[in-house]
Amino acid sequence: MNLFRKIVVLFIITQSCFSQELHKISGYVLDFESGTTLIGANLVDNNSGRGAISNIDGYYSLYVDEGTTFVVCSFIGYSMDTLFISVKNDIDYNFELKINSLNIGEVTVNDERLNIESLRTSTISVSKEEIKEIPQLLGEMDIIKAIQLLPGIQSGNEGASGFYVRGGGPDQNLILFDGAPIYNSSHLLGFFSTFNESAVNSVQIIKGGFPAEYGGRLSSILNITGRNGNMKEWKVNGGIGVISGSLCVEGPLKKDTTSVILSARRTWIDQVSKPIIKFAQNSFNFGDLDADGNYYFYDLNFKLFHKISASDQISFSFYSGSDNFSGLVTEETNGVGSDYNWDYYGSSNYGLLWGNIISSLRWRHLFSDRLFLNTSIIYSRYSFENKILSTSQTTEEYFDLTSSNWSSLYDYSYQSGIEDVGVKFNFIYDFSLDHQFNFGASYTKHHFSPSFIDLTTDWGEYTDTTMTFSNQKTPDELFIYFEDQYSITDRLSSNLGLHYSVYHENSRLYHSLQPRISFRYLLNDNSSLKFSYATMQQNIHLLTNSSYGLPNDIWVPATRDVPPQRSQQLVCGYNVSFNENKYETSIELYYKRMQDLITYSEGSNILGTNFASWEDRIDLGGLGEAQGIELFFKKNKGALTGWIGYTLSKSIRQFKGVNLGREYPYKFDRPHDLSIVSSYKINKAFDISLTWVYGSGNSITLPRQQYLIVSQYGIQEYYEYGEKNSYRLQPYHRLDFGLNYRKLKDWGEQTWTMSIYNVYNRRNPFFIYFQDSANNNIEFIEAKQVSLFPIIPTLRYAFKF
Amino acid sequence: MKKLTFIFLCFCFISCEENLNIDIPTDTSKLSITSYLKADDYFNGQHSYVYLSNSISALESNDNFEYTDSIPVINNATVSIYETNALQENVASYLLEFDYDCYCYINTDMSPKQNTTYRLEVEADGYPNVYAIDKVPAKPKYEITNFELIGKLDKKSYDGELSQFNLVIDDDPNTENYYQLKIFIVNTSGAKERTCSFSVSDPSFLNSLNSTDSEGSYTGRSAYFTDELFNGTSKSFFIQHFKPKGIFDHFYIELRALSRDLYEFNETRREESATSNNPLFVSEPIFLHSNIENGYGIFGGKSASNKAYIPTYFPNNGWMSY
Repeated sequence: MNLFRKIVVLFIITQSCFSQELHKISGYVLDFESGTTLIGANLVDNNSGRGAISNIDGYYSLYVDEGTTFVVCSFIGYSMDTLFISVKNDIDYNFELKINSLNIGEVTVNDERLNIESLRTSTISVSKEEIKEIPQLLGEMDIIKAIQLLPGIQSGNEGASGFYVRGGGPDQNLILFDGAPIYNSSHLLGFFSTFNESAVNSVQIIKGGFPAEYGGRLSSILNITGRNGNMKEWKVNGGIGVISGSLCVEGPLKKDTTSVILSARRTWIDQVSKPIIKFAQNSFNFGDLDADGNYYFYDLNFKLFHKISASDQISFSFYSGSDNFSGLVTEETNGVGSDYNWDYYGSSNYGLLWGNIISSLRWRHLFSDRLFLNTSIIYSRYSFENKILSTSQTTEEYFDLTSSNWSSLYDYSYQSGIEDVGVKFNFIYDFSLDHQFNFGASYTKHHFSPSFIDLTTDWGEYTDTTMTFSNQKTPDELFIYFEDQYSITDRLSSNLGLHYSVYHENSRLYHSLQPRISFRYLLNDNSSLKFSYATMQQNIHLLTNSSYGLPNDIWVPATRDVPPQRSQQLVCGYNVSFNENKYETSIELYYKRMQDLITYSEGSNILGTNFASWEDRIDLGGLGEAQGIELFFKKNKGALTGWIGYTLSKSIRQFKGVNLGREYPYKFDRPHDLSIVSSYKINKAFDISLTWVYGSGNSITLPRQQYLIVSQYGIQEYYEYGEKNSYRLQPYHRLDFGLNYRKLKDWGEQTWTMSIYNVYNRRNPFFIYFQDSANNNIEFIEAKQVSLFPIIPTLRYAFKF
Repeated sequence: MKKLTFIFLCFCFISCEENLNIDIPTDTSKLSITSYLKADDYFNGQHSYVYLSNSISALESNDNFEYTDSIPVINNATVSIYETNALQENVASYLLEFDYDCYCYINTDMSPKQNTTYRLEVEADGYPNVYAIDKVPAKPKYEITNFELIGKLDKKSYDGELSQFNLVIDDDPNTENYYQLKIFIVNTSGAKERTCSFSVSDPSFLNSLNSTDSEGSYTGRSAYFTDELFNGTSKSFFIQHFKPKGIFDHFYIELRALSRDLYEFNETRREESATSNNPLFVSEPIFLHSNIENGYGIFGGKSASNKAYIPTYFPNNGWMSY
């Protein structure tokens, strides 16, 4: 008998042995009032101590010993539910939990014991309730900004919603909303994320030790699950803030069977900003220029959920969000020439339009109490467009009463985008008590339009129209995966997985086998050691060189000449909880290497000096290295909850054609990063929160010498720069304060939220520039630092009924 | 750009600004050189010269440059150019003198030779000595074929297509060649010379120095290209050539061969000028290419082959070496 047969027989014998004593309890964890699924709920069998967590569909399965036992189900903000049962067979049971957060003086943020037991390293779930309590810029609850407060996750510039995980770039984060990727997760130049909190159910981020079902990004998976509509009754909630308002309507189309949720958010900053733009115009000397501008963004979420049967559920999720900026600058001037008078009128219309549309159709099916299938069909589109239309009219009236007129036209349009259509199959198979198999496949058809320029110019004598394309690319991406969650002993468990991906673009095939390995060893009931190793491959790149959070970055695919980027990451962690899980601490060390990174060649940018393809404007074969230690201390229970996260890290890059081939600090390398997040529940009505963040300044490149190139054609001044990114901006730190006041009314509930962003008005660096100055007739060049947000108090009103 | 700046400032409507004390590491002030050596041309300040200036700290005022009269050049340096052989031994030396007409260093006895390597050495009080080496490339070889005159040289108001022709380059397979193409049009009696616009559709013209579209079509007055795509072959480029308004009597084609250092210097200068002072679409800083040891700037060799079309004297084929 060969080895394979022996193993199969051993599995069957093992399974049959256990099946005489063990039975499985499985089902969904639901909100009692709304019937919506609860993701990440904890279930513990009292007799055996075995635990389980409801998955992304709210589904759980738990093995219990035959006989009488009770299973405790708990979830943040909800009362525990206990199932007393005499187990003789496998059982289907749905837990329905009731909300309790307003009825007690203390809260339980999470049962972190399961973090001790969990096989996953570097995975943090943040509840919506936790996010709600964090004071936010302009009172807008922001998921991305909340996760930036976790160790190992850093913000970019002031206020920006992009995030950088363990030294990786912003493109290396796979952001999923109901399984569909989102390519641009921010509004308003990156200051707000695209996620409307009323449409969000749960948030989970994975920084390392990636499960085999995920691929396509190097640094993190941010998994956001949208809410299903209330299955019991119709509900309305909304909010009015300084810059935006939102409204959410949800309810059952058929009670306990079909629900729908529709939520929308729109800014009214276009109305608020008009006087500010006027103020800016008056404050800066722009001569004869006159200007007007308009900006708004919106989000629209829709989700339909339907229970076909006890074993079949189907949902359709749709999101559309867009930012629209437009500006008009006019200039009207006149003068006197040698023998004529002249009049000039010019106008320039600017437009920036960018946004996402995503949708997913998901079908969840239970083949049996051991085999679960989640099928998703996804669609995602991101597009960016920049328009400039300038016209001018000049009239010269000569003193001999003759005249001449001429006009000019500059009509420029730039577009880029990416569109995905795909399908995914995820199976979960409970093979036995000790083995759970996860396997599946995914196929995505990408459609990249990296850059398209349409330029028409008419300068009176010369008219030209240029249509320029960076060739559109339509690569295929396929992966299959398999992983086995194996309980080797009572204390030692492993998760061994393989992820195999194939990427095809224009007859070039890239394929990679990516092992995913993790081990967890329970030192005792309250502490565990963890280890993980994961290799990842990313078949798309983001070309970026703007640090302002502008949407002018472009997504480009791996091609024949531009290979996919790759990474390998090692993580070692130690988790401990104490005082009956009231406190939890974790320490993680990581080391990550990245290969085949790309960057713009020195001096290139998206609107380069020529219309060459993006492939001709980049440096290839970049290396990256990131390493660090992350400390996380969290208080889960009591009136005071919160966490402290600290990261000590180093992240470098090296490109052959950049910085003379020498390695240099990554732009967002931040050796020290500290976040203190706290929330204190005063009573049923009031809670306050404080957040303090500190981070080392970003790395930038500064000129060190200036010199001249002199020729008979003129004199030009140039700068000599030192080592790339060798100068650090001042450290960033900020204190935010929030106060929530909730009140139950006859018609429902209202909440007033006051938040103060940047309480002590710290002038954090946004960027610096140089300006000629003079003092006592001595000229010199002065460095100026621009800070973005001073102290900003805001008030927000929310209601629900 | 002023308008873009305005829009950007509107974005940052609530931003604050403060002066910042930045400790930039102080580097020693160095010499900056702009020097070209053109083959078979006297080193008289017209096409071949050495301009010399100094560098200052990035935060210093322009007043701290050294000035001669009101021109920011250094006039008291010792500037020498050595002609070297294959073993880098000096076979001839030339001491250059400061000329107050061009505010540059010249030596009218010197005429750089093609295919020859030169070494520049500069000593100036208060600055580290600098030196540089570059080779003046061989004059490019090419022919004009399929020439067709479409417009009239002497029609004042005409500014359309003047001619079409094939420029056939005989590329040297043993060297990397860097070319620059210009077309000049001349009114001899009025002593007027202007550059002409021309179009070429070829992938070789698709590079960062040229404004080209994705089809490789170039239209402009000064095109750069390399022999990367046709090294060692006879390469033909079809050229459409446009006339500016005015009365002219002839035009000539100038095909230049540049040294690699000079080509890269021009390339980085072009990138720098295109991306500087752009607040919205910021690019990473550009490091200007230099072959000056212990200093900044360029010591670059070039050579040129000219062919002129003069219908008055050569009405049949019209072409002569110029």
